[in-house]
Amino acid sequence: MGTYILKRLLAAIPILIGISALVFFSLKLVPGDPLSAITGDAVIGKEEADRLREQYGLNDALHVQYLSFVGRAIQGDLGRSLQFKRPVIDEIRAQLPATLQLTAAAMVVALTVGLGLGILAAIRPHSLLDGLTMSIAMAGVSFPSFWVGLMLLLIFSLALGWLPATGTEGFERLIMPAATLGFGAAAIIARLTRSSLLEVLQQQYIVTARAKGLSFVKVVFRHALRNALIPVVTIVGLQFGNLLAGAVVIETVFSRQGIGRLLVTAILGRDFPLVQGVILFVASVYVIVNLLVDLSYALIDPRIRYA
Amino acid sequence: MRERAAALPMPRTGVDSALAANPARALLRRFMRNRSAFAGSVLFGLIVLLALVGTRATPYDPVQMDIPNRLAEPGLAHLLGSDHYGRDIFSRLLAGAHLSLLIGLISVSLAVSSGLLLGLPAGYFGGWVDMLVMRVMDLMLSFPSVLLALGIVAIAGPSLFNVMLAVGIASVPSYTRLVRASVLGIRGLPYIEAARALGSAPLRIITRHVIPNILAPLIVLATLGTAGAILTGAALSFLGLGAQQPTPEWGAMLSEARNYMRLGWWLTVFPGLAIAITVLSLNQLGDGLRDLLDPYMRNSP
Repeated sequence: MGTYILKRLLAAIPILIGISALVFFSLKLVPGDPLSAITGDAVIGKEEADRLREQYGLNDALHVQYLSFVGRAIQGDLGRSLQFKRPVIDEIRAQLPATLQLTAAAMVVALTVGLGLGILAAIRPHSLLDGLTMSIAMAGVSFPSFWVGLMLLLIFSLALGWLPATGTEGFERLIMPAATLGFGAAAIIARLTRSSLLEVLQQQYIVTARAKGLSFVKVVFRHALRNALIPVVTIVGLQFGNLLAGAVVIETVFSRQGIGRLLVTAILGRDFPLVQGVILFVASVYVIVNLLVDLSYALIDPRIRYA
Repeated sequence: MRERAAALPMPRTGVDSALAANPARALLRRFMRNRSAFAGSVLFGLIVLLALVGTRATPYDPVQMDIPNRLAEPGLAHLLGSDHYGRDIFSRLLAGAHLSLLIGLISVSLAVSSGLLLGLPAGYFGGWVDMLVMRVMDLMLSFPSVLLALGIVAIAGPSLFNVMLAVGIASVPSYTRLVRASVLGIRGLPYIEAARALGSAPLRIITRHVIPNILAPLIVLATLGTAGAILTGAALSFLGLGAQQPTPEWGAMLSEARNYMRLGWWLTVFPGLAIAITVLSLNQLGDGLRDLLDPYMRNSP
């Protein structure tokens, strides 16, 4: 197990290097003087421009600029936002809690609803219940999340007045965004759980367990589910990344604070240091989460460790 | 050589003898019998038809403001109501239909062709080509795809065309991986080996023997991928990064309607419903095609 963990940890390093290189060099593709990414719209003289160029290392070779970019990023320095006139890392730090809260709540929704519907559907395949749950799952993968959010707003805020429409603080402002964001992931988890559980239920050890007199419910929860959930665990890691990226849209729908809205504001404002910092940050988090999921996967399924 | 091969008896699989007799007709019959595929294709066909009509004829001018008739409720004059500028929502939805379809079509065409261009040599030749291509794909996959698309729009600048480009590029890795895996699956099969033994050049083997045999899973992924591309495209327009006002793109319509949603439920209900129905029809079609074409992928999500 120890060597497996070490191997996986080491494998993450080139990916992180690749991500940082991709983010750094692709933003060099933006047309225009890189200096304007520092000065913004301010008009400056030639001498001032030369001094800034020197100060920010814009005269250095590209690979030197990249290395110093990585060096600074490791120390938590992601540059300064043009719009907010303060360090990118401070902006991220200020917006992060709201997004983490939303993503975590959405994950809870996705797991409970997704597993629940998937198990229900698999227990009685091709029944009315199966048809109904799979229709809900189909809606979950087909309906645009921002529209689902707007419909919830229309019903629960505007028509019924039960929940506040916008804002970030408090549990009642988390319900609709989390439900909206979790719905799509729930649909994917439900479909996978159903097909995986159906497959496991056809295995011979399930027949054996039933033959020795165990109740169906016991067989499903004790024997079948443990094995059926292995593929579900992998998808959960991928879904975490999708939830994080999906938060971009949901935060806009509900006017919530968060990393997602920060990114949209940055793109619309052509605030490239901020765009670069947020994308690098979110992608790194995604890599680390998937690493953790891989490790937990090995913990659940011993075949992975020894493969 | 061709005549010799044709004279050999067809291998009988025994699974579906009708398939061997007339594969196209047998497939069509199974297609009609598959409820999901049939319903999806009829619905999607209808949307394509409406989109074609919509670019030529709409009940009202989709961008002409008509302030006296603003916020009209759905009724006989305005089928789906009018928006805060008095523009007929039904006309705008019709006029915008082809934009959503184009987002799907262009981005998926880009992704499929890049996927073939990268995945075929990677799977067929292996070695350093494979190594290089797959490392780059792994790198792209280490970003959530929406984030990748957002990053590309950030560089290229907000516009509908750039959204198509971004969504296409962001989905290249999934197509490349599928193509490569499919090629790996058939590379060692006797008929490929036979073609190689007969002295066919790699390009000929790839175009005549490999591509036709990996088409089925690719068609399934492209159908489901079109649905996903339309969703992502609409989301980016909703964020203000795609189609700009007053283009009647469905995501952009929702973005505008969001500010006026207190004034009438029809402003936000119908554009979203249009996206949902379009994506739903493609997902149904894709699920059905998967059952029909690809027995191995059956039951997977």
